[in-house]
Amino acid sequence: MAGLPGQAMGYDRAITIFSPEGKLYQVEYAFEAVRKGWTSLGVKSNSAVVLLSEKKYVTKLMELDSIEKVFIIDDHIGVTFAGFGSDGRVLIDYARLVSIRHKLLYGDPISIEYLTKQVADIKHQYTQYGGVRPFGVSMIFGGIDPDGAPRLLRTEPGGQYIGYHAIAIGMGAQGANEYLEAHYKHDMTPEETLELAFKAMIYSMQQRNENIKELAEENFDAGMALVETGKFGKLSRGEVKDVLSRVLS
Amino acid sequence: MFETWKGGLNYTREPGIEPFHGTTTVGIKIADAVVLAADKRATAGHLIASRTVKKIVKITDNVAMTIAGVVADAQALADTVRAEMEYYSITAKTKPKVKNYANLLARILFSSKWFPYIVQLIVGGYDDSPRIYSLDWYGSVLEEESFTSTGSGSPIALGVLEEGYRSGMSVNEAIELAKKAVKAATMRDSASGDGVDIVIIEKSGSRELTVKFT
Repeated sequence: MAGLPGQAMGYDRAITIFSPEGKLYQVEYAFEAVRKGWTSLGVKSNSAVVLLSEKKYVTKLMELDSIEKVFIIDDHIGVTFAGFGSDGRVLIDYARLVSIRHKLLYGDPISIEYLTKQVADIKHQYTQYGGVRPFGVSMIFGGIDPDGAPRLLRTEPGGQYIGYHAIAIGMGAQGANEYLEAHYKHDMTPEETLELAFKAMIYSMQQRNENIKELAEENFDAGMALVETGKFGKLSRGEVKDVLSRVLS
Repeated sequence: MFETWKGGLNYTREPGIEPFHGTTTVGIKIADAVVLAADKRATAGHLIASRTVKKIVKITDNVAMTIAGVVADAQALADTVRAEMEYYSITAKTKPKVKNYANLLARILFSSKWFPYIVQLIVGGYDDSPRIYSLDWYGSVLEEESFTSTGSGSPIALGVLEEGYRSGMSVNEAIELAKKAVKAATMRDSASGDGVDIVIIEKSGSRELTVKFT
């Protein structure tokens, strides 16, 4: 028995039980759900924060437009996620609630880190109590803080959250992150920030041998927050089409 | 006017155990400071219960609140808001604005509308600029642009403020006006008197003054 790995010993049966190597297997498996999800990424520059997600046909008669992957949380905050769609949806609802409650209680919009922390607190609770499973999502919160600073933070299934300049999650994370690391600059216009996000996403698609020629605006969901206005908004189909044609040409 | 809070219930007045009601408080906003002032008398019915009451409560180094009404209610509110905001500023990593304090107070007041905290408050402070808010026991919150007054002596104090306030006042002029307004109220309102406490909140922080009437 001594030679068996942790899984075989049953340490992956309950989330609240550590394996002798100090791992919580159910939480590790939740990370795996994130790694298998559609790619989402966020890029922050000194002028804007962009959130971008890919959308793909699983079956031919799917209506891709009915799937949303970038969400408005509040006037100044957006979010995207990778992993279990249903888990993501529930946490997004919660984030909206937290945000609006903050406005009600204090009279001012919430800061992005405080919001992220509260969502991450919920995720953490689901790693410490019996009879529940962890959330199988990683989320990227992006936007402009009430003090005018652009912010980009990512939560993990275990409840950890970290700030980034740029980060990609999901099945294309490796390629997209490589591209972002090689091409990231602080000093970019909103258009350049947007283009970098699309380029990184398309690079990761190429790496996964996807047919780039068939890409259309329906394969993306994007949102952007501008430092100038302090507001977060979704990109229309037309705007996505424009960026796509610039990036692919 | 405090009789109305009971919302129709018949409340038997018992002289001697009546909570502290009579007060005069004043809040003045000028270009670079907020001046809060209040008298020092506490009454219980016809008895002067104390001549040394402090009716201005510091919430943080840049926010303070004047109290008119039931002292216990006001102290409980001040303690709650101070604790809430301390926790909030640590976890949210932000320095709350005066508006946030006023807003939170208003939520608490409104949520206990049917069993209210019997208070009229002036919240004054300095965040990126000086600000004053006035709140009543139902939870209304108003940002004031120049001055405000609460308590039983407020009609008298407001007359003085109305007459003496002008834009471009210096801090010392505002202090003198606040003093004058509270003093005028203490001359005619039997529930106010004995002296004036003054708190001045500027960008650099806050300071206190006390003037005793002899």
